[in-house]
Amino acid sequence: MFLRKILGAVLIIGVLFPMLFFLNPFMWGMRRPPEFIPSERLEKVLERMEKEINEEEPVEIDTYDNEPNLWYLRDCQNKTLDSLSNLKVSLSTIKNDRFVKEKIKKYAPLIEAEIDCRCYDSLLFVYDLRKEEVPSNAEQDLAKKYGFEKQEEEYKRISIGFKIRKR
Amino acid sequence: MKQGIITSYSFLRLQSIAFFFIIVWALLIKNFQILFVVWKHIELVNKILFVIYFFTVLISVVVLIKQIRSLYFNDDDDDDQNTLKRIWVVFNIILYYGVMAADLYLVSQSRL
Repeated sequence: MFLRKILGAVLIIGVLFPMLFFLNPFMWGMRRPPEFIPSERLEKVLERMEKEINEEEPVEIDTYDNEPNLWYLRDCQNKTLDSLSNLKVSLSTIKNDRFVKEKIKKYAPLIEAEIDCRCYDSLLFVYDLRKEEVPSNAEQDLAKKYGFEKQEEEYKRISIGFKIRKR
Repeated sequence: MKQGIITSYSFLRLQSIAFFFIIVWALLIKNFQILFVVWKHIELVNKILFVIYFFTVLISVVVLIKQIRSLYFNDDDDDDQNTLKRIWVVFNIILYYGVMAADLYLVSQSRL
């Protein structure tokens, strides 16, 4: 009899306790992160590209910086979108411009083939090009004298786009 | 002992079916999302269902506690008759967890 009451109390706690989570409005807003998730095959192609470029210089390739999220794709399937957006592939900082451009040209059609959904207008590669400038001796001395640190590296943002389909 | 309607077999059955239906709907939405996307009002429907399910959960908290009180904290009823009901209440509580998860899943699928 006493055991039964304890069990009853445990059950009541078991019923009431989840209300702490359930009545929390923050839980209602829980949703999938608004982030582009590449398909497995696309990811494989990107990995291969990254590997190939890595032979020349270390680089990272990301697709996280994309507008298309769950809602974008749903709206696209429902045909309620006003305009299509780009699929953006961002590479990290790069020194050898020509080599990377070659690789991008090589891999653009492969990536394009892996995007089987019709929700993208064009393919965009974005990377920062690092220009290394060696300051002259006189400049260095002057900088030392006045305690300046001359910024040695300059970045230049470069985007390369490929049209996927005509609107 | 006076048996309330809330601990009758038919009510327990109804409760289980209602909980089960909510869970099945959420599983359908989860697994066949492509099918649902075709229908453009599905987001609105899910939003309304979230509100209905939300109040269902709130009501079922009261109902479950009343059931537990009358089945577990009642000294003057015989054991044999109510053992099945006691187990059934525990089963319903497990389903109730599922319903809460299903409701939170539904709301996570709609843009507020």
